[in-house]
Amino acid sequence: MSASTLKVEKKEMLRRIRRNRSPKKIIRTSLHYLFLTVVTAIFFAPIAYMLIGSFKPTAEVLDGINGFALKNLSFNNYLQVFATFSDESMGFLWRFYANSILVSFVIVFGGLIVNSMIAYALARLRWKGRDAVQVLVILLVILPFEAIAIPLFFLLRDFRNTYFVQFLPFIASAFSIYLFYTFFIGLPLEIQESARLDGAGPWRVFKAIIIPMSKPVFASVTILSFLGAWSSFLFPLMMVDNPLYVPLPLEIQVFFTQPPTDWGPIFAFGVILVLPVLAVFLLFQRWFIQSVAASAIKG
Amino acid sequence: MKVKQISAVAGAIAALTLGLGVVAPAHASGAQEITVWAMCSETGEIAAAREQVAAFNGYYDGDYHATLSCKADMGSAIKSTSVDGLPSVFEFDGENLAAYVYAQKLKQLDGLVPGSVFSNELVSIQAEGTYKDGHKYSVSQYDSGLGLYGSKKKLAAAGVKDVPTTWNKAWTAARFTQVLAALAAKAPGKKALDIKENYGMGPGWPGYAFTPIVNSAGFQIVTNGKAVGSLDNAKVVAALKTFASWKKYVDPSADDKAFENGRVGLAWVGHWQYPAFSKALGKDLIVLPLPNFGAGTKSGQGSHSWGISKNTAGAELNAANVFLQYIMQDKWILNVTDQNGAVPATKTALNKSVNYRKGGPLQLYADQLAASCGTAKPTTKCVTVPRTISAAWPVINTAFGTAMQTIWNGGDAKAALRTAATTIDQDNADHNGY
Amino acid sequence: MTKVAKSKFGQDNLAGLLMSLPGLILLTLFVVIPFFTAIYLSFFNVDFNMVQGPQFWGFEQYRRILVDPVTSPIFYKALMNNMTFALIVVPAQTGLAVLLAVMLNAKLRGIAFFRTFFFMPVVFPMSLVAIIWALMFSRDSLGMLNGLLNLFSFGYIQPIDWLGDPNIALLSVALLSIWAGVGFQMVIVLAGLQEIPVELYEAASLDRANRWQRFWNVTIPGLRNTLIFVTIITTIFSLRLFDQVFILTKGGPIDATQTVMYQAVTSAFIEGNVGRASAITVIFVLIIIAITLVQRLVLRQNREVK
Repeated sequence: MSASTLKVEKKEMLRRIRRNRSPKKIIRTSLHYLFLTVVTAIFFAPIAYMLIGSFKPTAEVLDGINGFALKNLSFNNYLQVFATFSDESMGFLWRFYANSILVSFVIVFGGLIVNSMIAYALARLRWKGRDAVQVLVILLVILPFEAIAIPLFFLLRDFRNTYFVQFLPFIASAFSIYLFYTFFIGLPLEIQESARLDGAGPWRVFKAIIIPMSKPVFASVTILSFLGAWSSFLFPLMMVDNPLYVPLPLEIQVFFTQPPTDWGPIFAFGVILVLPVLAVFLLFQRWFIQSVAASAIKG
Repeated sequence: MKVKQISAVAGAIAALTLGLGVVAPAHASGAQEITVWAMCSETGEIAAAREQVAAFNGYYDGDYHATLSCKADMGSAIKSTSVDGLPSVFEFDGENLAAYVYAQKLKQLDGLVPGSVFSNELVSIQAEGTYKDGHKYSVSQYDSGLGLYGSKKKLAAAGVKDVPTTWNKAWTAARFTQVLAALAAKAPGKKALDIKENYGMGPGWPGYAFTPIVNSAGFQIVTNGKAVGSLDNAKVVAALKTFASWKKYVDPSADDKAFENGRVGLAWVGHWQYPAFSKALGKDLIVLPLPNFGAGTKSGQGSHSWGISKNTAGAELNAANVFLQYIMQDKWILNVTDQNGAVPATKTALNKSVNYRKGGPLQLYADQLAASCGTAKPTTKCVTVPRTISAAWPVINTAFGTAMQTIWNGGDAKAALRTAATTIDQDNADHNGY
Repeated sequence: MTKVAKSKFGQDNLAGLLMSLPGLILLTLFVVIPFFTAIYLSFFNVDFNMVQGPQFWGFEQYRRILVDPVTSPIFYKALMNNMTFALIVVPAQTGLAVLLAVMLNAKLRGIAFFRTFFFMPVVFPMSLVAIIWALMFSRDSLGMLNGLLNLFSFGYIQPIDWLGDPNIALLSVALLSIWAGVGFQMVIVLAGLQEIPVELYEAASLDRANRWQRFWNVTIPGLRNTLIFVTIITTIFSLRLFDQVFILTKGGPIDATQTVMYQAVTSAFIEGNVGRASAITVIFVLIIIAITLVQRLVLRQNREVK
């Protein structure tokens, strides 16, 4: 018998097994769904808590189980948040958003250009010093940001409260370079080699061949570096306090400085903070998830 | 690609909004500009800050113009900004005065702000604003009051008859333990005291609320430049051990309402809770001094202060000076203290204050502040002690807070205080005594 | 790194350099130089505000961190906390991720719907996650977690002091970190699961292997590379612990949640002691390098020939 008929037989057998629609199967499936729902609900509880709490007065948020109760809902907390951030002295909400967007934007897109270029140079070109740079990048991948946070803070202290200090140090990322590198290495060599044979220079090969073939890794890096940039906390905490330049996640501190903590507005602010990213995530979640997974498989 | 389009739009929006933001609002040309940083983080203080700046700008329209900027974390902002980046005028937590003077960030105010402004200030405020060189570096609009709040009914029901209303009659620590036990016995949750644990027992709250215990045992945190021997003195250790032994009577107050909602009969907290407490308890509310651990009851003082940054000069300095004097008028002091409930920092404003003047419900605070110990060794004749006026205060605050946390959670008090004291002394040595 | 297939077209010196230049400049300026600055500063007593100039102290900062009886215990405590945290989080988060991934790998309709919920916390900034959990961890019966425990145990379980009990605080921080990060790993494991050839499962079923045996003998080995990747990443992330601690516990209670990074940042940013902070940073980097090397040696990934 040939291999293909063996395969067909196997498939038939499986089909029979799978098509088993016995009541047992239905119970099994329902239980599975039930189990999933319960586990998911438990997992989602904190987020639900925040969502619900953002519409309740503070006293009723901190009330044990009743924190989940849907009563006394109003927009008051949101109104308070807007009222707090309504003039220059406290800064404007839209400004915080704009700051976060601008900084993330520059980090992500600057990073795509810079990191992919150097990764390509390391992966496919031969040049003096390439090996040394490879070693450097490997070493830097291991090095977490925290290792240089303090000295960066010290060195850049005269540039606090600017946009530059928020994005410039983060455009080049050893991790992104590594992701690009691993992907580029995996691309078939033949196409590139024939292009070179035809006289195309490295830049052309990069632009015309590599980039179009690398959509998945570009997507991954975009999403991963965006997530990192948007939620970055440690460095902005040390470097920015001017409401004109402060990114959004930092401003949650405003509600934390003087006790007692007013939980209602904090949750409202939290919702405001996370809503855009959440929306983007929900719209593009397949991409998000695929990117994360793809980057890991390749890495 | 979708991504490209989205990002293009995002980038455009960001650029547009930022461009809009950069356009400065038009105002009277020729007016001397000053920048003002304020610590407006609570809702009430935000409004007060905005009001007085707006009023200043209105009054001096054409001559001076102040731009207000609120900082969520003023301490970090000042610490991380070099003196060139500082504003003309800024508000700061009074405990940092010495640190800022040491870091050459504050300007001496003698000769700038009239002496009459200083002499009108409360004794405690004058102490707070004076650096070890004897000069004044800040003015303040308000001071703080710290003590116990109690429920008359609950105390009576617990059979406590000797409720002190003046500071010289404060309960001893031993008596206080009995009071707590009696109150707890009658309480449904078996708790008697709220010490605002929810504010955090690490560095911060204890540095204000519980350093008076150290003082009440008869010691400043640092005596003659040394913390060892002072902070870790046996009397201090004993006092803090006693305090820690009250933990079983303390409601953690996670919702911040242990006293307000009637779960406990006593609260160890400051003036800022008065509005909420008097609303909840009405006539049942009583204000008492903190317990006496040997050297008389002691209490805390100090709140926010205003100063001029060191490099402000010329016409800007003039305007900054005018601004300070403007906000030190009784009218504006009372405007902010009406909103945040603090103790007005000048004698004239104090007398106009309904809460703090003689006969007012919070007179105890005013009396305590009038009997400030300053930097001298605490005795039974004085009450409020300023937080150590030294550039080392941040280190002291952290060290003390860490020790408090250990002690409160049942750790070895002697060791914790010894560690704290050693840390403080070492830091002092590292900085050559500042 | 694997050797690049030899290009037959000579050296691309100029292009290679030019393409690397922006990245190299940025990395040098913002990573390499600060790193060496940290080393340099660690030999000095430097105050952030530079009131008195930097004083050369040689190894004094290191002595204080590693050897001095008064000031070193807190560093070792922080280090131990980081290790403990990693030891809790890495297996727990990875194990949970595998379980969830297996659960979500079923071919049921709408399974992707559930997957979304588990991934959601990943897009939340950690500062926000910490704040939500701050409330959930409230120590009395009003806290959400205590309320839930009370409900499900019919009042049997008393309120727990999640963040105030030194024995539990680190666990609580671990709990919220796991919650925030498991979705990320779950997705990676899920992808790994889907790469396992179906034939292996079929062969196992034909051999009358039950679900458990299939799991152990097909799934887990098939996930080997994925699990290694996930383990390494989670270890590194857990050593960097900062955001949650800063917002929730500030290192307490009694240094139960003190971490190396938190120590470094408070030294620099709050106390202004840049020399000490730099020394902590250097020690930290050495530790990370050591751990990563050990991990890579021990868990050598099977790399398929590409």
